[in-house]
Amino acid sequence: MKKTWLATIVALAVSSPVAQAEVNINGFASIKAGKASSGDSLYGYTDEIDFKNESLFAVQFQSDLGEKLSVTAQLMARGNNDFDAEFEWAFLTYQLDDAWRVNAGRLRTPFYKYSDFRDVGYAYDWLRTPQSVYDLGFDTIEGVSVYHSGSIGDTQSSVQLVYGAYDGEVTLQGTKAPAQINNIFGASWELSQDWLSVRVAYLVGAVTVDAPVFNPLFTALNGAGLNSIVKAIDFDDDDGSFFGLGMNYDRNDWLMVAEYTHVKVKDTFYANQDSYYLSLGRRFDSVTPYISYEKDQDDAKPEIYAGLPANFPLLLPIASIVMSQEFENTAWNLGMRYDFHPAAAFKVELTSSENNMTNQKDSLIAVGVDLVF
Amino acid sequence: MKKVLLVTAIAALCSHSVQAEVNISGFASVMGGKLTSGTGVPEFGLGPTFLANYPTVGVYEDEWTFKPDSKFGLQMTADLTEGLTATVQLVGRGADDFEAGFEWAYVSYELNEHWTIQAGKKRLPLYYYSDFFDVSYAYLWVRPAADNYTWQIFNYTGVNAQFNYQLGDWAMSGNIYTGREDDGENKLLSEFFGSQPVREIWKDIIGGVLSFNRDWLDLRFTYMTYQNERYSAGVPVLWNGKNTRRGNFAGFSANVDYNNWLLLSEVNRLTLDGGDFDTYLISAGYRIEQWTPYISYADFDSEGEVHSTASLGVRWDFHSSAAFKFQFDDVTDDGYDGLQVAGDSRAITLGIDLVF
Amino acid sequence: MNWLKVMTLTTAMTVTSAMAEVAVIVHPSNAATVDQAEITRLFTGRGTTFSSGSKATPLNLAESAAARGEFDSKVLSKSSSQMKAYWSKLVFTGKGTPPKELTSDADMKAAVAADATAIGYIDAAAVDGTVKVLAKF
Repeated sequence: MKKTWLATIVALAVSSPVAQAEVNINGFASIKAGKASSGDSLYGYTDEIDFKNESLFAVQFQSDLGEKLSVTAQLMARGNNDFDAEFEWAFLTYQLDDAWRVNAGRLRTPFYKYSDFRDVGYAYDWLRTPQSVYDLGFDTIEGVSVYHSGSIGDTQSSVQLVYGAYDGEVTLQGTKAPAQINNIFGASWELSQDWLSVRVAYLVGAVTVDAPVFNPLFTALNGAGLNSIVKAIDFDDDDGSFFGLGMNYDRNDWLMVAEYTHVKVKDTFYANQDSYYLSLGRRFDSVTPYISYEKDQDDAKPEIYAGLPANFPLLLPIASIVMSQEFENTAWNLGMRYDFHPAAAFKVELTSSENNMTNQKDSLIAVGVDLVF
Repeated sequence: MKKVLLVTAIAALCSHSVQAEVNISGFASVMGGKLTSGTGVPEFGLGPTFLANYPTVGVYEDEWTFKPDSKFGLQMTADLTEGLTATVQLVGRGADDFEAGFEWAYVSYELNEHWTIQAGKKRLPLYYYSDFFDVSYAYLWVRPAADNYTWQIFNYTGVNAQFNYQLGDWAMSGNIYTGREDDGENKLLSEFFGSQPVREIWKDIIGGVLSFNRDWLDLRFTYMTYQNERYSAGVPVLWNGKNTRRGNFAGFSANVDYNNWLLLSEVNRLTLDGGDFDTYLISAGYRIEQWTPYISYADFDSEGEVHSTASLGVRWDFHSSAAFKFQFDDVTDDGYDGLQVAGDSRAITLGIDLVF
Repeated sequence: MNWLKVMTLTTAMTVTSAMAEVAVIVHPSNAATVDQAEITRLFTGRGTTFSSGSKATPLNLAESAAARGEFDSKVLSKSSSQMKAYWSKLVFTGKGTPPKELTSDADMKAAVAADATAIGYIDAAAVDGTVKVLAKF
């Protein structure tokens, strides 16, 4: 009897699965619903309640292969993509030592302070990252990234260098167009100490966008011997640059976050974009109300057609394309985060966005739950 | 008495929960490359291009890119009950913008020690490397020769039976399969070889594979037949007035792994409605500790479409689960007018393959 | 004489540690006999029974264990990388799964002693009465 009992216990202990290369699984999800005011549309929402637009579900697989090598893959399904799964990022990591790390594969472009976790709603207090600033697209690139983390006295310092390429789509003049950004070089540096952190980022790349909708215009301009105008408008291996500044203050339950970005693409009709936001919040136990202000200022480039005579037949289409980039928008957000569970947060946010040129206002209310697991 | 009951109860409970065992494994490739030179095909308005992967349209051009050969795969196998398992494999390829698709999804039942039957969605085991095409860690080069693996269909849904027997010193294994594949918008035909959405159907697929292995020698025979149906922008494509045509594949592969010498070879023929498409591959490598330099030559020959690639490279097994690879490819496109693919090109590719 | 004895002893010891023998072990009740080809067959997924016809459950040591590298190169004549490539061809094509892995000689002995169908291996120096040795390499 004793023998049988002992043997069974041993057998049971042994039959439990022995992991070979251990795979760690984590995930996060957001279930969000929003509705714009009657007749309005904002951030993909219309005046009918929409549960898909900002909802998403992601699972991350990570495996430590030993000898400083590990692999990470994040599978994401977005509501606005019909929940079709996509490898949002997928990279190998080589941990050189405690301070240096190299990632290679499909990576997140380090534009903004919250670039790395913009999809992980649980990581920040707002319902969504401020759209005036977090609106560039090109969120993922394929390439190599080097990280260094260290300290300068009492201050933590982390530096990221990135090299890669983007191959995807952008939305230009309301239509989707294939775009490539090659030879992307970038660096970001974040310093943090206790209750204050500051960040600066700078990236450059060669931008090419294939927009056949402009072909008739370009053909006409080339025919009129105005090749220089075509070059000044089109996106053909033109130098683009991104500059960003960010800061975060978290002290005595008062929170303040601000970011500023400046984007331009030379020799294209792309406006020089200045965007920023300032957010103020206060933590009361598990409830954090906040208010934020956003501004997006895009300056068009009328100098492109300044030299053309006033009666030039193609002046109107050129001017309309160039000046369509002129844009000025401000938005106010009022919201609250409620941590009702150690792994979940409830969010509600009211947004009022005003187009300063047309004086059109759009309002939106959204609620949601962000989870991590 | 009480103790016996307790023991039996625990044993019964635990044996039940152990049955739902899920095993997760995966593979990944991070590869970057670019052309060093290329002619493109001026007649088609195609700039310098290296078509490294036909089925997924993985293409290298003048700029450095990590997309064409990079991919991630995750496999989950669940042990359902005695001998019955369910497996799914998700693969995201750079060439498809890392959209995750179920590449394999099947159930497997072990009849006995020699036979296993499976049903579901699997990879079409045409050529030697077809089955594990995406698991780059498993083979020598950066990719299986593009000139050989040119077919637009590479999955099927159906049933198959695998078997293995020991015949003296030889280990014999094989696979008999049947099924079909209906690709609503075939990527190779719709994007690279055409400009209209093409729906490609391979039906009434019946095929078999027979492999023999003994120490350092590996022999494989393959045969498959199918019916091809195609719709271009919704309109059925006709061949000699009929809307289906029969295709027959036959192939032989011999691989040697002896005393650090590797010799890999493969020859295949597809006969499609009277036309022959011949491919062959010959490759050699020599293992020096963790390094294996290699050379390879692959050829595709059919009436009008002729292209070949000579490759030189090295594999470095720097880690127990990962390998670094560097490869130089020289493509020669001798297609007749209108039947060229991507022109001549020279390209380099390098990166890391791993499994976990 | 004493000096010669010491010399012989030292030589013997050096030889043993350089060899790092691997012992292939089974459950004490297992009457099967195996040769290298048979062991290779069982550990490369090409067979699931002993020559006697009874079921065989191969068990591997984890890659971190010293005896694993010895086993792969001496018995299977392959490096660990080659074995990994070999198994990945089978795992990701549904043709087989690698043997379960145990992290140490002690875990391996316990697993083999508890399963009459098990066949595994440990460092020869770790052999004791709980398991039966079928072969040494």
